[in-house]
Amino acid sequence: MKNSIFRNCLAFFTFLLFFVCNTVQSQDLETIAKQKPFAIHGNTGLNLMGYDVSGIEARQKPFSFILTANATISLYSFDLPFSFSISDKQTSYSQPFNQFGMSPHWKWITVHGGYRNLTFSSFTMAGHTFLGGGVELSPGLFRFGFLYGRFDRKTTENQLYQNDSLPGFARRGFAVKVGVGTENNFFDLILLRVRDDSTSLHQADTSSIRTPEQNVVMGINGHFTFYKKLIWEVEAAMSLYTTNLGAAPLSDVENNATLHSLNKFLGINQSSEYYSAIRSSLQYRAKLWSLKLEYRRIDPKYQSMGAYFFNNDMQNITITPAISFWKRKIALSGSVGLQSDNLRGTKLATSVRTIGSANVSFNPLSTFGLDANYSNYSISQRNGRLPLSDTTRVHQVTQNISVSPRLLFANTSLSHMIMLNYNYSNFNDQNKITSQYSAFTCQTAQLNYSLGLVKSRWSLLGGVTYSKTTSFTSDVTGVGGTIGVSKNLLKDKISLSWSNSLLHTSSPSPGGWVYNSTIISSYTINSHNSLRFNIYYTGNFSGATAIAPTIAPTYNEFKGDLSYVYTF
Amino acid sequence: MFIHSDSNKMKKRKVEFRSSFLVFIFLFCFFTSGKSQPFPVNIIINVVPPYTSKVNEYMSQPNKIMVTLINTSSAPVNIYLGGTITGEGGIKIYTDPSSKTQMIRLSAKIPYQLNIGNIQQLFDMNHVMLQNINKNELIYGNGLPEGDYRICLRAYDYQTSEPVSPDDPSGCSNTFTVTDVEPPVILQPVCDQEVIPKTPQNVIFTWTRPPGTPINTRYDLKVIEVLPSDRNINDAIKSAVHPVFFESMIPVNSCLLGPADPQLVEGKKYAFTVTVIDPSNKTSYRNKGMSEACSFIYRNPDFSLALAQVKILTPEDQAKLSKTEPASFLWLPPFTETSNKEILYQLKIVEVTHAESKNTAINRTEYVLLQKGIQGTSFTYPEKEKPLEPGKIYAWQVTAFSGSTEIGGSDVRTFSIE
Repeated sequence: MKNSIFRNCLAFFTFLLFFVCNTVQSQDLETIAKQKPFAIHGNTGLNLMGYDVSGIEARQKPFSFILTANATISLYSFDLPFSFSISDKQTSYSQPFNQFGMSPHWKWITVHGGYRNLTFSSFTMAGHTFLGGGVELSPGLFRFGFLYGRFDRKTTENQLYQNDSLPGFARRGFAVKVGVGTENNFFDLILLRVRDDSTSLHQADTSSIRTPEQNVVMGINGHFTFYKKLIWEVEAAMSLYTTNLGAAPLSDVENNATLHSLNKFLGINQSSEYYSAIRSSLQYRAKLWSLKLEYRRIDPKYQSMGAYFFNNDMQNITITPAISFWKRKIALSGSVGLQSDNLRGTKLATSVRTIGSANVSFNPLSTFGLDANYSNYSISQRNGRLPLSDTTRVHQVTQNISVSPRLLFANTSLSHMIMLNYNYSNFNDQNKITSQYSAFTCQTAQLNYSLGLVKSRWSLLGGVTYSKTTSFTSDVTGVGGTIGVSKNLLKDKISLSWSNSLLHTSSPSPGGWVYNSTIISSYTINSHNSLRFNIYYTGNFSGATAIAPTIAPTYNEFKGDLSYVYTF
Repeated sequence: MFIHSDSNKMKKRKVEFRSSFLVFIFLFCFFTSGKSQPFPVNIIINVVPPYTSKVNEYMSQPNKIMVTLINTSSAPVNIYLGGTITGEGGIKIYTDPSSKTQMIRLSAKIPYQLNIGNIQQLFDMNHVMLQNINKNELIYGNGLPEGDYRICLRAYDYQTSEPVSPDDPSGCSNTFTVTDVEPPVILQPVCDQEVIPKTPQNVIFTWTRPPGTPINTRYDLKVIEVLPSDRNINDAIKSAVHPVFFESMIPVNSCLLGPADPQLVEGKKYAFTVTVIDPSNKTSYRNKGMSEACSFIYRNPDFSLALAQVKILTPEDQAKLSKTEPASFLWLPPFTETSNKEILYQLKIVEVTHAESKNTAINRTEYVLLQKGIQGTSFTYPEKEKPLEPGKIYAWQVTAFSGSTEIGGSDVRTFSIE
């Protein structure tokens, strides 16, 4: 296996080298003479994290690190962006932590290599990471994309955390896109086929049964712009999913010569299912307002191996308006969606949802501003394939309201800022049987005042906080305060701040105290080098007695974070 | 997580124990009840949860349907089996009575456990007969509709095709409920948005309670730090190393990440998922109960209109500056500067002609001074630059940048030199 990957990588890089040499040679020499031959820009960073705790089990590793880089090498007009991340967090999961990749491009040619995420459309190849290679071409009105690689690597059972790493086969596949158009007006046809390598996982590797799967998805993706303001998008796909490549064949397919030969590609058998998905939207964008209307229909169980997740079995219509007026001092936006499931009539009940949200940003003066938003998500049910009873009927409403007004005054020596944050969340279950086990309300309010001494670059912060959480398991009230100070030095090259908060919580009885202290420091050495060092402390001081010493243990927790970034 | 893994194992053990116990009771009854039964073969079936809608899953997983045959007579018998799946709404899926399945030889008094091949043959989709459901829906569509089902088997003499095991309800499984429940939908924090840091820490996670979940459902909320922040969040979730940043198993569909929990770090990106878990393991969830992976960045929004503004302190608008001292400019950073991002400023000075407003003038491409990359919040007009001329009116503006992104600007002011 390793040899195979090595060979693939070698072949890819050989191809890349060949490609680079040829593309550079093919450029106009006169143009080259005027261009900067070589440039590199980007950044690289090293982050070290330390951790210590007493009184409870460790919630982090004592030490970890991550080294990252994002850079672009420019050779004449040929750009070679690359990135990598290396950490001690490497595991045996289906996607490794340590990844590298590059996507060099020149004019209308882009080549991908390494770990990449590409999106051809949201229902087909939709951002799933793969290790392999690919190419995207857009000469004139022609659009082409192709990729091939490993979508998941083989995983064996994780005995310690079974939910995290289910045993799985190595998964490989390709996707191809062919289309016409430009960035604003195009129409693409997409094909994806990904399948498990049934030889990659043996029964001895796992105690549970895994069957090799295959997925073939065909889709279209269109985007059209009219008069620069009206945008129409349309996407549709058909997914053929086989959950067991070893399942018995279908006689209908076996007895038909055409289907039989086609089935070598499709892999249809008794475990195959097909699903469809469609999305279309119409959007109008004016200077001060916009309106979007979207329809989405996704079959139950619709999935594509080129995507990570779909909310499926849903039909949804959404209207999203936004408007600003009074010289943009007032901005309103929101959305209203109506959604239902049970598209194939196989569910006992049909759930109907109303999903709404509204946001207001109000900034009438430079000294005063207010942001507020409200969201509502309600689910109710009606009869599906069988009559519903009131004891099982679901009717839930989840609401969230947040309001944040602020005042800001400043002169040449002092600045003052007062900010209030209020948040209310409520889950209202209107089924009398289940409501006693599910009702939940949470309110939080925080009022902060910050004083800035402009010339000396000091600032002071003070605040009070209140929270109340009510659920069937507990009823917790928290009251506390915050103080902090910060100072900038050396023409703001050095920034230091220290904040402390103390909170008294009423539960579990007889309550306890939580103390948080944070020190944040940064030093911008010059335009290339910067350092940051932060320390976080959490002290939980429980009022637990000897009768119930473990309800809320007393603990002290320290966390440190040192990072260095070099920009070039 | 330990609790969950252990509880799964416990459940499996319970199911195995229950099956063994049923077999034992049956054998006990059989051996103590004499030999007067009219049918020599008895069948015991147990279907192991979770109960999915996909017929193929019942047929492809060993021990999903556990069937024990016992020949109670004193002589061996050769049999073949017929099977029926019956469900609410008159759904019936049964073996074609005109075709015999593979012969099974049952030795006297010795229990025989059906293997996966026997079961697959019973419900081979090429040969089953269907009522109130069509083949397209069953095979290519969504499989079994939600509802209560039973699986019954009956043995027939291989030579005469006469039944040799009792009819329904004997030879039938427990009634099991097929479900197809969606995973939770994340409501808060809204996916891909920014969460405003609060001191002390106070972040609420809310998700839907999926319709069809049992009352004792539990939710596993897992929050991880995304490193580096541009990493695909699904990969980050998949490759998260234990202990993860925060994980909690809770009975309600909300969770408060409070000050006693691990501290979120300003400027960092976090991803989270919620997995719904049925302690009885009977409910079948799509995507194994795991929600979509969502992420949020823990920082103040950069584009809040008022707070993102750069507030000019000196000089005042229409100020008259002295010719003898270099012009000095002082401003306040935008109030979004709470993270450790470096903010650089740009100062632009243009000459205002009589025919234009200061706002028009500042947008002109010709300028007197365009100083980029100012690190602090003050700037003195450099002596090396062309001196500002008395009698002329100049407009000026400060713009703040985070990296290459403009995050705020001041109003436009004017000054002149005396």
